[in-house]
Amino acid sequence: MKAKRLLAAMTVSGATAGVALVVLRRRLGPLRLDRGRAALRLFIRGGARYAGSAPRLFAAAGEQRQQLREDLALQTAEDVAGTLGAMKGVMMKIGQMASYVDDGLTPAVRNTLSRLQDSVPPMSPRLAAGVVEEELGAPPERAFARWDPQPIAAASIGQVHRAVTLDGRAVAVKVQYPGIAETIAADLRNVALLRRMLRIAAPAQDADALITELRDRVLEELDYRREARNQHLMAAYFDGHPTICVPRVIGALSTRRVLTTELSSGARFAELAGWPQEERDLAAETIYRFVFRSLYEVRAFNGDPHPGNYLFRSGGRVTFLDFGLVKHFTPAELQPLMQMNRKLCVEHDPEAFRRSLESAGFLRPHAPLSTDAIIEHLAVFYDTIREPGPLAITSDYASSVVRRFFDLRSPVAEYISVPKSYVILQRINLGLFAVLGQLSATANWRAISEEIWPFTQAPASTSMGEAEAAWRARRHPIAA
Amino acid sequence: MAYLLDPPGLDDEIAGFWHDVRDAAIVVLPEWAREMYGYAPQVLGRSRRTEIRQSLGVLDAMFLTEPGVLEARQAITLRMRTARSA
Repeated sequence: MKAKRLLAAMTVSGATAGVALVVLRRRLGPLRLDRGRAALRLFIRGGARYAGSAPRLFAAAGEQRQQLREDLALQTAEDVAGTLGAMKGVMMKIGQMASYVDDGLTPAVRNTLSRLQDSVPPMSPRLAAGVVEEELGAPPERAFARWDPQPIAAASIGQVHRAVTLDGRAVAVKVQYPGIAETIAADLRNVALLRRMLRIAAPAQDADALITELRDRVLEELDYRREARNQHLMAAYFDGHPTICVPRVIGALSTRRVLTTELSSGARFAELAGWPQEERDLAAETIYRFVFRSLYEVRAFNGDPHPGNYLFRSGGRVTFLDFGLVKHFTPAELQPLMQMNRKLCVEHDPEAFRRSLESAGFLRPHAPLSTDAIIEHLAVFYDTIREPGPLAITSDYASSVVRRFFDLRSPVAEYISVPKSYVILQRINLGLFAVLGQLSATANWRAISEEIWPFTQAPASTSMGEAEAAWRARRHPIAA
Repeated sequence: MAYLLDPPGLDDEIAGFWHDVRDAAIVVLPEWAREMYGYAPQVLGRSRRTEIRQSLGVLDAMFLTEPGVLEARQAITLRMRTARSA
């Protein structure tokens, strides 16, 4: 009896002690910066606009194929559920989001989430082909003129294959894991567990707001038709832009679980480190123009400004990928943002700026704070545009923005909140500046902003601005 | 055993995980062990089983990223596949 008692106790204590160790380890540890590794696994590389070079592009886009564990490939939908079910798919999405939240996660948690992404093997060629056949009504070898059965990149809930359409276009085909939508949707319903996870992993954050964003985002991403609509909108707007390229969607070959777009090529973000600073500055300028032109003219914001979603070519040409998370704004929602920029940066009217903050819901009305204290607290978010002149966005600056964002100790913090409509714009502070900081990009951001702000519409301030103005005059004569 | 399964002083979040681990641990105990410690046989409903599976999935993911664990699992998967195909 004694031995049995001991055995039972050991069994239970082994399991629980192990759990305790892991959980407690994740709770401890200093905060530090470590972003983007997993993000670089996303999507394709590729080249110029593909017309007329499909075979060459088809081959080139696979040259740098990443090492995906094909020997471990998921063979069945049950394998997918076993690998990504029981919260693992959800945790991977949290990991993706975490790449924007530098100071919000402990390094141990960040490492766990990043490594989790690396742990997912690709689908077997047969399994991926099955999804394509279910979605397009024909096996890939018939739906396309050429089909590469081996994926060229992993996406978070799927993988990317290259192909050539029946009319000869080189394309990237994103194929979703079978059954993943149902699995993840079921896991997202366990709000209590999500809250528990986030309170442990990111104690400095508002868990409920994160859960809301996580659920909204992930559920959107499970349906590729939404991404196709977003990408089509952006591709149509930026068509012919001198430096911004958005691959066109092939609508006839896109469904809920298959997304077919033009194949693109270019250098990945990590390769930019070896490029001259002048080229990096140009790339940064293009990214900046893309973000704010989208916001103010398309009234849409791509909430995924992370390094894996860009492909770079010389002269500042950037291809933008992955439109799974795009927030659309109404004119009424954009108005307060413009008002705040205008009052603080152009008219230098702090009291009016404060009133704008209050009316938009960013600042509690009649907060017992001096306007100077509020400006001092928020100034870091406007440092790049308050005064004209060249300014380098460094990693230190990006980190200071993030630190201020999560600074709950400031007396101002308790009166500040981010209304739900603008939550996604946090990515400007937590994502865009992080990317520009990694590029150590220098530009006259204020002058570029004045070109873009609808209430200034200043003339071009750079050679890229001149090329863009010419494009706008051709493409959007009324707006220009 | 009770001290192990219902440890005092846990904060809310960890206590939540622990509760799921506790239920899972008791369910897998052999009947003689449950009787010995005075735990009633548990019949967990489908939704509760799902909740527990999800909690254990989170913990499993954490173990998965411990050094060598992922590689060991991959090796096991490959061996099982080889054995099945042989």
